[in-house]
Amino acid sequence: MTERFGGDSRVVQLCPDHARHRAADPNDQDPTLAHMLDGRAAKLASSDYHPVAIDDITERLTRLFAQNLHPAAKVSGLRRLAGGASKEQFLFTLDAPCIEGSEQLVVRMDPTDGVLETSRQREFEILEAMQGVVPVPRPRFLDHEGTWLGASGMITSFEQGSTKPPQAGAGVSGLGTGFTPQWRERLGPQFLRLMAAIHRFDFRAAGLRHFAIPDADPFQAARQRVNLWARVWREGAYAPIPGFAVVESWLRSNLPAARELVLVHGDFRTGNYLFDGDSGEITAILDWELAHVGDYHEDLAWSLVEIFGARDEQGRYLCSNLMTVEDFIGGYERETGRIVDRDTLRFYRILLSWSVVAMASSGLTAAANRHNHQDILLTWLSMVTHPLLDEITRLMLEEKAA
Amino acid sequence: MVPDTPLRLAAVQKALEDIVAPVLPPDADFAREQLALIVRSLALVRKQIPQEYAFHVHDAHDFSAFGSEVAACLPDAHPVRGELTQAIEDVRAIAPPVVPDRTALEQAVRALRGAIETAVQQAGEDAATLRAIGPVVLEHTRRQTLLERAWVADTGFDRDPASLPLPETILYSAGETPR
Repeated sequence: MTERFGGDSRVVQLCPDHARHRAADPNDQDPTLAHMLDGRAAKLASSDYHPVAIDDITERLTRLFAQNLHPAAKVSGLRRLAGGASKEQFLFTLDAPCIEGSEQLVVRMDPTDGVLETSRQREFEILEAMQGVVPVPRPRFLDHEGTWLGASGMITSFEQGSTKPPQAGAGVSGLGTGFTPQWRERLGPQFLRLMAAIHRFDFRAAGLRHFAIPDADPFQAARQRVNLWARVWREGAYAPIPGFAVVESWLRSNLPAARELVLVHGDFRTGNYLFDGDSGEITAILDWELAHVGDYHEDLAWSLVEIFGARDEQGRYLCSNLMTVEDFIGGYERETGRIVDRDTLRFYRILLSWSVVAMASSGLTAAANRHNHQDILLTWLSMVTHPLLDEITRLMLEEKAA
Repeated sequence: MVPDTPLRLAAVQKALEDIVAPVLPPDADFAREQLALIVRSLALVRKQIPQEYAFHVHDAHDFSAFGSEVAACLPDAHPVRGELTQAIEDVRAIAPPVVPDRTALEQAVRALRGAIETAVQQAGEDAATLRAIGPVVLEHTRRQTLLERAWVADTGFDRDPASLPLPETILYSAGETPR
């Protein structure tokens, strides 16, 4: 039975299946993520976090490589990388007798708190699994416990490329990247092909140790994502938003059945891939910390979150500032042979916009507690909340897609 | 959930102290001096902001009382008396009689938002109640979001900034002068 509320021409689908609602067990969580969130609660009483000093991290890295690679290993030229709303990132050069010449590497480390607690162990594992599947940095060293780095972290190869065309503008975290039509033509098809390649990856055969497969029932994939973001909101929200509870009720009442589980990147959008400034070839897909096994509609919906897009010269909305929504969905269907269900897509668009609100609010709490190296970025990014709430409201008030 | 101004300024101050200051060259004396002044100014502004409005209202009442005392000392026919009296009346017409404690007001509103969220969440567990409350909540979210989008439009995050009204047109009632 489908129930509706709303006046005028605005209609909200509500509680189409109460049995499904009852099945929305709030305790059904991805075990690794639940463990990470348990750890976050313990950190809340920590004192102020201050960025790691260059000399300090150089010394830690030198000790790490001296004891794990070669006693004469040398770390030099370390500098902080821009961006990184959730991790401290540094680029450095490693010299050691056992490697040919020198190597440029990147270290990513957890601050006390940020927009979300994620696992370096899991990120490292998925980077290993993606070698040869899609272009990604090579994982080189994992310090999950922070034994060497002082905080959970990992070291990867440094990949050449840029997140924006030469001379183009971009906001923080890749939002608002300026592409010309020529750049869109170069990058758009690659964007689709790479997403399809990730979704073709045989995660079952890969035997990923830190990734749960939500296949207990067809609704588990969606249910665990709702539970994750509801928990992030409940434990990290900076200020209450009454509409949040209505959205949560709607999501729990409208869980879609997953047609097919895939490896979901979780943050697949412009700003999270590098490309060559001359050839336009995508050289690396970055930021895998939100990767998980789930419904393929999730990555599609993430790319459609409006703050990640822009309008073209004709005023048309372009997802990830690359292509129109219909070109994107049609292209994905052609590339993968899968059918994109508009209702499921709408569910995930609402869920993911809601998740960004939860993360933004959580980031604001981290900034208020002075628990991050980028309090200024977290307070700035928290202002994405308002366009997102507008997007959620519009989507919920839309007629259910035919 | 617009972040409060003191929090945003605290984040600016921390970034300057933790990220910018350490990379200034040791011989950049002028830049270092400027940065120190910026940080001290920010710290002072953060401290003053919660009381700034109260300070203005205090001034309004204090100066209108003081102006009245001055006016009382003037001969009735003195040419400046009329102008002074008018200026006092202008201030009295605008100044609110009582200034709420801004911090207490913010805390009370936050608690109210929390109470509404809890009510909506618990009501949402019952489908019939959710049907009744859902449209009210969504309509409020739409209205509130319009103001908040307008408030942060300069961030560049909004898909359609040209459609947004100026915050002043929402914050002040029709015919009321922005304060």
